[in-house]
Amino acid sequence: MDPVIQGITLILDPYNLLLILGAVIMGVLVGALPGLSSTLAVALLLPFTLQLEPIPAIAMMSALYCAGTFGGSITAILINTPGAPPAVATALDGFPLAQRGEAGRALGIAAVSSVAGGMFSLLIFIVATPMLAKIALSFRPQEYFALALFGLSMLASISGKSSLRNLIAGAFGVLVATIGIHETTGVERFVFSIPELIEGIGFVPVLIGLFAMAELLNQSSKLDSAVERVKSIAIKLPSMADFKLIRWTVARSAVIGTFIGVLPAEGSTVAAIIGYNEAKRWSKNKAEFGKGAIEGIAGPETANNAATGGAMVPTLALGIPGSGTTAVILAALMVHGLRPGPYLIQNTPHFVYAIFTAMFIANVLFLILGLPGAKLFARITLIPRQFLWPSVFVFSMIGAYALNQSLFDVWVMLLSGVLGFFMLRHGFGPAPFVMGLILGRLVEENWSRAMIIFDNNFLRFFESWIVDLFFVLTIMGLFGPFLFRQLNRLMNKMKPQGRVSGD
Amino acid sequence: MSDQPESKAAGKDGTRLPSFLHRTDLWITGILLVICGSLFYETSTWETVAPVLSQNIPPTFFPRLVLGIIVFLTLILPFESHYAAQQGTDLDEDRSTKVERITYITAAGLLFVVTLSEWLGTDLSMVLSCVLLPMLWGERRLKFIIPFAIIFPLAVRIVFVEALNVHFLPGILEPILD
Repeated sequence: MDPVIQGITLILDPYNLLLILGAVIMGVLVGALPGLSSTLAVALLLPFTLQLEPIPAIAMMSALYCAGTFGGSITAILINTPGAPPAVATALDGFPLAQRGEAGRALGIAAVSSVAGGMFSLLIFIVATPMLAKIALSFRPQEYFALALFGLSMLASISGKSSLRNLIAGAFGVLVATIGIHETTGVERFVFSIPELIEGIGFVPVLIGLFAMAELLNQSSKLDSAVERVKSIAIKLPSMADFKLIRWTVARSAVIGTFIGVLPAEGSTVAAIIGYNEAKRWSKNKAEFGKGAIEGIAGPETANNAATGGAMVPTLALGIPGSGTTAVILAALMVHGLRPGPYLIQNTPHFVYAIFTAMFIANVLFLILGLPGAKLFARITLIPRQFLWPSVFVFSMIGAYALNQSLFDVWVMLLSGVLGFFMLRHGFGPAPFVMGLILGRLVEENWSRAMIIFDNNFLRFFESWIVDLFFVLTIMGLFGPFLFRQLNRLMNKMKPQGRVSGD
Repeated sequence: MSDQPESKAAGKDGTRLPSFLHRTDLWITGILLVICGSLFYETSTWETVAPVLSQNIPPTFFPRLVLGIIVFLTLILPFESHYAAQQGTDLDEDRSTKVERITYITAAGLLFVVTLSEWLGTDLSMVLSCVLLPMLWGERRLKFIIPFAIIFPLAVRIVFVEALNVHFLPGILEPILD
């Protein structure tokens, strides 16, 4: 059967549609809850999908990813509390607009922009993934090593305040990936006489610990925080005048978001911030920004949803995560016994079309559900933290235990959570650590294979132009942010004295 | 505000910059270096493999390389805050307040539940979590806690045991569950 029809038919199965609908509702709810990000939700969903076939399982996670990214905007607009990091920029103009009594308009702009961004990125996803996978089929271990190294170098510019801390966290993730038996020699590494470590550290408990437990500990100090609410009026679609005003912002942010999503390690948060800044830079009403400009909602919302489809491209085509959430999806693929990358696309071409269809349906569903249901979804914030977070703990405990039915994994989850809390406090993000954990194995395996092929002559890496290209990109990824800052400083110094810099 | 000493230089917005050497980051550097040192020592205790068998790639090579990179990056860490502040980035924002007592109590509570989970079994561990955590976080209304501690673990059991075929540890409930 034609892979396109096969993929679409598979998702249109009523049972799978029901799973996607469930994932979308859960995604919007989780996205709306401050502290619960889509990354966390996807990590918690993973154990529930163990009994499912890989395609419906990944389809559910992808749908949750899309819906969760949108869900964050509801609470950002209504209560000035972004449900998830990608919605931070949405609150800047969404909440002021809601305070002016135009909450419905703000939510409508957010929903329509999110769908526009999501749909655009899906088009790129469906075109680019098979193409990229086709190119990647010719990759040998040296090219894969260089590609994974490039992915790691992008940690320097991932969201967060410190490139240095991201790189250290990523390097620790790579180190943790070396735990267990060495592939070439069979030597046990960092096992410390603990039999459970021989197979290495499992992704699932670490992911749940870093994302869910660390946040639970973080939330324990916010028990008394109150949220400011605005009275929500009926949600309405943007008017023609609104559409006219935001059309270029949406178009620009869709391209920006998709591009940023495709870059390894960069995610929706970075896309949203750049989307907002660009919307402001190109706007004729710069003074309105921060006071309720609809372009200030459309820019970040389009970009953060466009990043979801974009991030799936390197994840499926190359096996390199495009964002923190896709790192979890990548881990889920491995847990389901699939090896992400070009061979997955070559052997099961309908896989890409199934995921595309699932994400497409998710985008349509959150528009249908999000507009009339926003008021209802926002009410989830009324659940007392005293009951919400213990539920998260129970899910985390059972989720970590369920995969191998091992208490050791629960300990790993708890330890990762405590460690993650202190890491986060000192600026070491969990996402770079997870990226390192996932890419670490890829880097070492391919480096070892390439060195065996090259008879230990490292210089032979440079014989491939693809490797050379990735090495150059790696250097740019590592030093780019620093060089751009220096360049910016130099440019500012060269500006004539007395001139006020713009945006 | 952080308790870090400040230098005389001013940042972009005119505020005083943190000192050249950041005290907390110096501690973190020390801890990370000790960890790296211990792990490096650990690599020296691994079995040695003949170069022919390891195809000239000893199992220690990659972990040591990564440890070396971490050490190099860590050595820059104590100076980072000063330079970040010059760019207008406050790296102390998230750690400017002390970790609250409730956070340590919560962590201890979680540790307590996980420690007891093998003996209690999965079901009772869930019930204990649903009672202990809300109470630790100040909830005293038993009319909410009791239904929550019964209904929620039951729902989780139905989903995982009945639908997903996960085997829950019976613990002290073994005679009843049998």
